[in-house]
Amino acid sequence: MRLVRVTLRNFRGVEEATVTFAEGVTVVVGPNETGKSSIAEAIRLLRTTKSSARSQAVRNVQPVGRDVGPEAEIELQTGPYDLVYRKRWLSRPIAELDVRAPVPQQLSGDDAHQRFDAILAETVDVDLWNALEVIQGQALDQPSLAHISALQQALDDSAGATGDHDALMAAVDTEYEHYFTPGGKPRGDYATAAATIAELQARAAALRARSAEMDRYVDEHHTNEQEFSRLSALEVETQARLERSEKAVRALDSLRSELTRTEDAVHTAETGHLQAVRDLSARQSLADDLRGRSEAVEKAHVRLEAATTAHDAAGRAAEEARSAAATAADRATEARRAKDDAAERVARHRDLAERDALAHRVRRARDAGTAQARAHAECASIPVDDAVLASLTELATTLRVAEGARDAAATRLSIRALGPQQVRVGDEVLSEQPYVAAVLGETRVVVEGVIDVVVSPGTPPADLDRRVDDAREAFEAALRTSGTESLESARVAHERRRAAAARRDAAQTTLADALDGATLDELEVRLASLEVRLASLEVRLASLEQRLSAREHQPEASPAVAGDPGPEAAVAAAAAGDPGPEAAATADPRPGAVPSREDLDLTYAVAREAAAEADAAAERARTAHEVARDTLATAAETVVRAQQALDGAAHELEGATARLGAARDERSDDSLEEAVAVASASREASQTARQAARAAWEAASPETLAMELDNARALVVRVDAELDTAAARRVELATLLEDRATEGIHDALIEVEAALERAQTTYARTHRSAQAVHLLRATLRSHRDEAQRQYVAPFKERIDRMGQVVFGADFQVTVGTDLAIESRTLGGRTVPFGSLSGGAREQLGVLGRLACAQLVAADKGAPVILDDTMGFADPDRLEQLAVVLNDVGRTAQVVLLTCQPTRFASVGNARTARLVAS
Amino acid sequence: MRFIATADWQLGMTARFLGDEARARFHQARLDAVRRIGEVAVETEASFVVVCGDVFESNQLDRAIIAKTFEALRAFPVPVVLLPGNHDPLDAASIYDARAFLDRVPDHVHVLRDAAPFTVVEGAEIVGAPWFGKHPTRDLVADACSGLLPTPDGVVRVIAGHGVASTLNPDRDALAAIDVPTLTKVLDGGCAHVAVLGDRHSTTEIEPRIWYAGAPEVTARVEDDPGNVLVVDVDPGSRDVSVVRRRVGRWSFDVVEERLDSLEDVHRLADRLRAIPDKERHAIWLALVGTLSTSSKASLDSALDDAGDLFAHLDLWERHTDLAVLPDDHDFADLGLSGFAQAALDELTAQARSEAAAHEVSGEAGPETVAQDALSLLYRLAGARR
Repeated sequence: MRLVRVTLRNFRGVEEATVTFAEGVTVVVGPNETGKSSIAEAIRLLRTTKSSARSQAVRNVQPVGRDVGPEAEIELQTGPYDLVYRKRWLSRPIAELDVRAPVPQQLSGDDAHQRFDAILAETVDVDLWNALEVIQGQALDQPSLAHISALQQALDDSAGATGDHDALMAAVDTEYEHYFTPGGKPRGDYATAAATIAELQARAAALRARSAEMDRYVDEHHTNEQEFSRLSALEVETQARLERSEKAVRALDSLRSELTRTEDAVHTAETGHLQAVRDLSARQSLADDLRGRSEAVEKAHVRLEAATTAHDAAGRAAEEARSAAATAADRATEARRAKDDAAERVARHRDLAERDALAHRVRRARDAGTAQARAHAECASIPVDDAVLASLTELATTLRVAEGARDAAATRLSIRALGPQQVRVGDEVLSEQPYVAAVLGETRVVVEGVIDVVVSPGTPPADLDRRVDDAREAFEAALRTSGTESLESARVAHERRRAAAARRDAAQTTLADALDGATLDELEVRLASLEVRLASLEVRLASLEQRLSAREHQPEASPAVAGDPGPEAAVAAAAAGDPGPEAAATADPRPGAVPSREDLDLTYAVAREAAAEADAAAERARTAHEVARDTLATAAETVVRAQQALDGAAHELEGATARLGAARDERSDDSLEEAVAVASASREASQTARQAARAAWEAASPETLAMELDNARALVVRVDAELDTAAARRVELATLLEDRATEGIHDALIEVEAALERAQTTYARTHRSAQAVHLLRATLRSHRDEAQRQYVAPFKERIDRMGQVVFGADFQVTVGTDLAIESRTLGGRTVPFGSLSGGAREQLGVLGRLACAQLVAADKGAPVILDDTMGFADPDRLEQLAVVLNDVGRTAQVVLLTCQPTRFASVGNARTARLVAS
Repeated sequence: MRFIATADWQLGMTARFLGDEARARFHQARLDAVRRIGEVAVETEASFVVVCGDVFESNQLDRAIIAKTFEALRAFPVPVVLLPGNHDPLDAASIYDARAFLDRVPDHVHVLRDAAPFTVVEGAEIVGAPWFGKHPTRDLVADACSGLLPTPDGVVRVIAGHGVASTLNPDRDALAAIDVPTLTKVLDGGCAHVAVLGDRHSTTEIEPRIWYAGAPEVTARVEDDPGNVLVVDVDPGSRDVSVVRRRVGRWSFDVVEERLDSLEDVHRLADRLRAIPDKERHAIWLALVGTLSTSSKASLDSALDDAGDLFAHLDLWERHTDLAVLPDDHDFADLGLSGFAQAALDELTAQARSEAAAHEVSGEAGPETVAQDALSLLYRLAGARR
């Protein structure tokens, strides 16, 4: 269908306007509320509203304040028809249809209306027409395209045959819902059947178990009865067995008492036999005892004699040993004394030497003391010591100097004798030496018979004289002090003094040497004490000498024991070749007769050794004596013991003899032996009897019988107990069976099984039907969905293609099988349609309509009428939409109603019409 | 001497495959059969009735059955002798020892509690071999006969036993089987005139003079000839025995086998079912084999649905049914399927054909069966639209 022209008269704000439509895009521009929506509205009213109608819709389009009927006229081509259709409503309504081709026809009124509808129905898909119209304000909704048969046809043409099986699908769904919930779960009988089956199966199982239980009770009852019978029989049998056992055991008792009796007899016989043997053996013992004791007495005799002999011998030996010991002791005493003598002689000798040395020292000390005292005194008597001498020398020098000085000033006299005449100068005779001297005093020179010359000194200078005088005076004072008369004498004195000092010192040294650290007094005291000691020694020696000499005159009285040399001999031997003991002993202390120290020492050593040997000999002798004495004591004891033993043995022999005699008196040996023989025979007889009794007892196997009795008793108890149990169980089972029998288990089971079978049958049938409908529905739906996917594909492609022009290359939509846009993908984001903004939804709605218009063939299609859609406010989008519109316009008629002239200005092949408000 | 021999009343028994209503009727039918036995006894002027074991279905029955049984037996004009069998042995739970039984047993009703000859009427004695437990380990009949002397003159002696006859039992080592040669020897030796047995529900003559009486009312679909009682005539002088079976059963359990390969076959089956009388006392198991188109299968389902309401029980015997349903060219041609529906049909058809040969034995239907069912459903739903 194609709109050719629309004319409005007195329609809303339009007094009269005609819009001629292009084949493609027509843009109708009109101010809001005046005209542009009126175009769409007029077309719709023409289609839907009879001229006679007075509905609100009609009244809405009546011009305000004017009593005129709104009028609309439309010229269109549809199918083979060219026609003009005009209507006026409310005031002088008319309806006129002028069909111009293919067959001219004019109709009016309802006829016109009906004919127009018929033509539309014949040629146009009215649903499509409605869908493609976008009324202002409704743009947000998608058109419902799924049932537009023109579109379906178009899509069918592009996708292949689909078929329309809505009724079939509905029937399948109904059938399906009979068995399944919309969610695919079993419902109704189908759902409950399985549960019913399970429940019935459980009940059947329970009843079968109960039945089986009852069967078991029956079986058990049967078994129990058998057991009861068996036990009853067994009870009788076990009782009998018990009695048999008890009887056997009773018989056993007599055997046992016989055995006991014979055993007692054996015991008695054995005891008697034992006693007889014992008696006989006692008699033999007595005889043996007697014999033994006789022998013992003999032995004791012999031992006593031997002991006595030994005792005597020991007594003799002891005596000998004793005298030997006494002799040895004497000799030892002698030797010791000799040793002491020798020692004392040595001591005397030593003391004498010491006394002499000490006396010498004392003498020396005394002499040195005297000399020292003398020298000291001499020293002390000479005052000229070194200092004095030095002072004197000094003074003399000073004097000589002074005299020299004066002499130099004085006359010098020199005399020399010429002839043999003696010349004397002063008192002195002139020798061959000339005399040369200063004349300081009157000097007389005399030559006997020849001349006497006196020379007098002239007068010296005073000070020289005075100095000489002074010096002389000092010198002379010093001389006086020193007790000397001249320097020479002083020097001599000094020399003497020094010699005295030397002597003194020597004496001093000698004294110290003699004293050797001791004082003289000490030495003298020691000397005195030595003297005293010596005196006592002398006394003792003297007595010794006497004694010795006395002995010498006495020959050796006691004979020396062989091999035991006496001390004297030893001493003598030791002194052989030297001054003998006698010599030593008789040594005179007089000088010249004194034996040497070495001799004395040797003598002493010999004496000492002799003494030691004598001591040892004495000790040995003493020991020997003690041994002999001990031996003697032992021998004495032995004798006593032997005597006692002999006495005891004799006594016992006496007793034994008496006992044997008594015993034999009481019972003879022969009767004893006979008694043993009798007892032995009796014992053997009783043992044989016992053997027989035991054999009889064992043959009765008493242990087996005892065990059998035990077993029989236990068996009776056990069988009784088991019988009781069986009886109790019998009652229990009878009760249980009676109880179960009243239940009618079989009937109940049959009922349940019948119900179960029905349920299973029902379920199987239902299940089968359910499976069938499930499969059918699934198969149908899967094919339908597949078909619809193919069916909607061209639609989706159209929308995508246009959308990509407007929005960009990544624009995409998904379209449901009901041809509704389900989601839009843009910039990688997929948004469900319902979640899109109003603008976006409107845009997609427009695109959907345009796609629809493109798909439907031109002759079957309807114009797309877009009433000022709001969505494309964005100028860029609008530009792109213009491109799309231009493209759609090539195959479909598009009418754009807008109040903004510029809005669709860029649609290339668009015709623009203007509506002007009156 | 004439008497009625019967066995395996299985009173208290019912069939679990039956619906609630049919099950109750079936239960009652067994008691009704007993009443008819009494009628036969009157009619034939029999001297007594002997029931050879399994009078009751179980010892575990609700004791209410006892009173109902006695009520049915009360109409009998002659003595009725009951032999405990393997279902109702004389064990500790025996129904014959129930207080309800002992207290109310009518005077003319006797229970054979041992093998001693029981003189039921003048000139007739019964030697019974009652069961004392469910699992005997000996030939009870042989035991019962072991001490028998030849029958006195003028006395008819009947052996009543229960159990599997050795000649019928494939398990030759079964301890409790009734040894037929031994029994024959007893009869030949003149120690008894006739032996009637229970346990086999189909009336069967093992040997001359040795009979299974069979159940008076059917109990299972495998039985060949149930529903009878035996009218036995014995001439003690000549030892001649004549046995006549009389039908007293009203119910039938049948297996209907058909090969279905076309709509005609379906119609024939429907006709056959329609022809069966007394449908409310009939249980039918269908053993169907063949291959049907979807539309024919729909017809079959419809026919079976209709018939199912009439019979006491009508069902496919799954184990013996192998029915493939495959759409043919015409089935869906007229249903106007196109587009995706046609594609779905094609897929289901392919599934239905695949592995059609390999039939699952287990309860769960194979994928091809599900697909066939789905096709049937599609056929029905698509067709219902028209």
